[in-house]
Amino acid sequence: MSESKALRFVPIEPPPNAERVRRPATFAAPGEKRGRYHLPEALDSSSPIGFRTRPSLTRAEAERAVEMLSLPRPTGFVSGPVLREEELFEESTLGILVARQSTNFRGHRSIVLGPEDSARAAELLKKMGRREAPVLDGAAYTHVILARPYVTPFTKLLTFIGHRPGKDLWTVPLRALRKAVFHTPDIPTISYLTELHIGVLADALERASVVASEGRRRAQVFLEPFDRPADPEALAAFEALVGLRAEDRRAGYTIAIVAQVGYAKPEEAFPLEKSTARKLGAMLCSLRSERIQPGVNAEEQAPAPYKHRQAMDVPEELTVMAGRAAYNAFAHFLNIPRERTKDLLLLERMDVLTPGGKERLRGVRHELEEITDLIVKHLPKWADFATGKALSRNTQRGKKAFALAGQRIYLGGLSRREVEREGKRFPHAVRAFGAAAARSSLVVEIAGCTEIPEGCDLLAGICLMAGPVNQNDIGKTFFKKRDLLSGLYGDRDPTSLLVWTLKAKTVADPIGNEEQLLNPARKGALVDLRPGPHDVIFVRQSGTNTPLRSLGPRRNQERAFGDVGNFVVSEDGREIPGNRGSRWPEGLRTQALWGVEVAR
Amino acid sequence: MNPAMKKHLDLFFATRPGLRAAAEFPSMEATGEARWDAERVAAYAAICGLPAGSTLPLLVPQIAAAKLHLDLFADRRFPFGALGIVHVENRVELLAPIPATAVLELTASVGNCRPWRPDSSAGWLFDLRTDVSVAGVPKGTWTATILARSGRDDPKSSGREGSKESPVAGDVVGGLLLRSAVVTAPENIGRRYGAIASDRNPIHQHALLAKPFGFKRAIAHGLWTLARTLGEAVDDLPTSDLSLHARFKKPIFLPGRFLVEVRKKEKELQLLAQGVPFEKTSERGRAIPHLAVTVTSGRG
Repeated sequence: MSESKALRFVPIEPPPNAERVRRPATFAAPGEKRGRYHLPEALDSSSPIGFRTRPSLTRAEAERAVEMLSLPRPTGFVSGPVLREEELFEESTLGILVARQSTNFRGHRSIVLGPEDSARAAELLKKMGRREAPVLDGAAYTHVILARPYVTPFTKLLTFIGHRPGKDLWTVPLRALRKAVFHTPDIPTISYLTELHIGVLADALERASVVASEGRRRAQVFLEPFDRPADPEALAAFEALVGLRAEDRRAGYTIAIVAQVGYAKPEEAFPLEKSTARKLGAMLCSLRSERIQPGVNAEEQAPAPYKHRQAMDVPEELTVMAGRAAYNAFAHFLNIPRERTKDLLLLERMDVLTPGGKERLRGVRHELEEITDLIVKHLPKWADFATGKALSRNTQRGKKAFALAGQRIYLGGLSRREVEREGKRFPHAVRAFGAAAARSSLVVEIAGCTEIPEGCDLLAGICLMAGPVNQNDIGKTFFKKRDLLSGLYGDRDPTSLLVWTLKAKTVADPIGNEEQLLNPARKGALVDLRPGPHDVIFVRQSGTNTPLRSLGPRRNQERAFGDVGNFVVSEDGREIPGNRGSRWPEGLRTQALWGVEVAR
Repeated sequence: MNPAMKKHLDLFFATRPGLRAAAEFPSMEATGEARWDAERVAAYAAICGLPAGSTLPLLVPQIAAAKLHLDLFADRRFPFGALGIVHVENRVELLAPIPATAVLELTASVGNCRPWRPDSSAGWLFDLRTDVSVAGVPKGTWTATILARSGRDDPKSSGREGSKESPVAGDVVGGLLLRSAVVTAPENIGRRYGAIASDRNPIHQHALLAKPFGFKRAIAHGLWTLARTLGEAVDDLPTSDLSLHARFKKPIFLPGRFLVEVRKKEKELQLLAQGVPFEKTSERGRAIPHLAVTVTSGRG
């Protein structure tokens, strides 16, 4: 039903030579206190990501990458060679392990079904009735993604918010119990966050199959919630097929995405040069949230490159392409005509370059801070004192998550009423929204990785944030505040979901931001540690789920697409110990996972 | 008393003649056969992080000869008690790959005794050599260099902490970095590996058992550390005509982790297992690696 509009690559003009700066890369000197601007001392992680620099794409490579972002769904699969372990490792890296849901890296699990189980899965999917796309036959394998509700210290903190004094002695434990047993969220956007993450993963999975196979494989991704199947028995059989256990259910895991992957029909293949595919894979491993706009929101102790504004901008045409990618993805995953997306996606631009933007941003900041103050004021005193004021301290600290800096800032959301009028379920639309946000971000990030001048880390970055929206949701739920999108869409009952902040700059955020995703000793309170394949990817073989890359006490230490060599090094060329990793033994990498040729 | 039991008791408690001059070191040899079944080979491979294949993992012939080694150490002519001897170096000359479940014809011998330091009162080094053939065809030689310290030496300044004259982390540096990975040694690795390798030396089993021998915690088996380190470079190693020289410099306390770096310098592969930089270690402690290995293709 949905047809994607073609995307064009839009270059970003680098700043004048004198302003071309990059992240300082030095190890702390012996005895010097190490901070977030120093290189990590070492890396001990089984994640395939590691500390990476953005590889510089040529314009031709970037054009091909952008083209990949508007591929239509496949209409069928043909037979192809058996899947080797190393192929699944790289595809899973790009599909699950690298995806940008840093707050919930470990909230997902992927069960990978072989060809025989995939055939059975296709039968069951047909019985369940999938409305977003046809179920295809002949998949070489199938990723089944399980997701559980989002749980972090932030969601734990939410338990204490919005209670009446006195009553809180029993309403707090009651809510905690409901959350533990029934996974009931404290505020609606927390469950939307889970849906957004699923959308982000779904979009990544589509791309992963293409990049990891140099365009030979394609994925048919289903992300509409599976909880209301046409045939409930088929769903139960599907859950049994992937080995979903009672303990998984208790932890809140349900089937969230099914991605059938197979060899593309010749006319639907998307051939990529091997070198381009490797570079794209390495680039996808290098992307991270960019929160700092030089000269705008750097902290006082930041090194000089973060403190000076750079004469560069996000081109208007690039934001148009990013928007186009978002509309494409939303239509694609929700299966609606593309022209309808412009009505359904509620977007507000609110940066300093728009008329009244500065005042609008100030107003949003003020409102969010007001909510923080209200939260602190109404926190149950007994709980705050019992935790050594940790609750109020962490609430104040959360303000950092609302930093709205960037040359282009967009706030996005949906209207439940309008989505349902379209005949779609709201959670499905939120998932499609997540996919749309991820894909539009990638358009900007690809431009930011193209023809990077000497002495620069990148040309543009993006930060997708849910923090401001969650805070606003607390205000809506407990303190009678209005939705952030009410000013522009007040009559449409809007629900804001995400904020995009786009930044043109040449200096990447401090490596400490990435270290909090990779080093348990420095883990950030609001993020998850990047998992290794054995943590979240399981291969279904002979009715058993086997963790990927687990051999005795050995776990993965390979960095995916590491042959491109985009590892962070110090200014004098020294590598971070452990960062380069070590390839998984060849004898295991080249093993056929299900040992049979895919026959039709 | 059962002869096997008596032999084991002799190993640890029999009075030993000691050694005054290298020339007094007895020439001793033991022969036998050993065969590991496929299951045991697979278990060994997994615990060392190696893929199970059709050939025997590199260090298995040496482990398979452990019974012969014990026979030699238990012999009353052998001058040192088994307690307190330290495995400091290992050499392997592999001529050809050995099929995984082959019957190994083993000859173990001790010899090449020399003073550890110019002053022989500090202790002695000797070689424990294992020659391996399959169906009469020589496959290679495995040589462990062992230090028997005298009671007069201060253990804190030598053996366990890395010998003073050992070159520090720099004796295998300078090549092109191929791999750099942090490896975990779980607390139970000594028990698990010991069960497969039939080496249940108490210092590897549990912290409580290791303490009486002067270790703050249990330590990893040297040959596990070496195998696990080689596991990170398994695809870079030649499968025949291999010459390996490993130096054990500092034990790995369990649980622990270590950084393995693999470099290539001309035809030589260099592997270094060292402390992980973010763990609290003194500068000197950090400078001494756990293990330094060089591998070349062709007989050294």
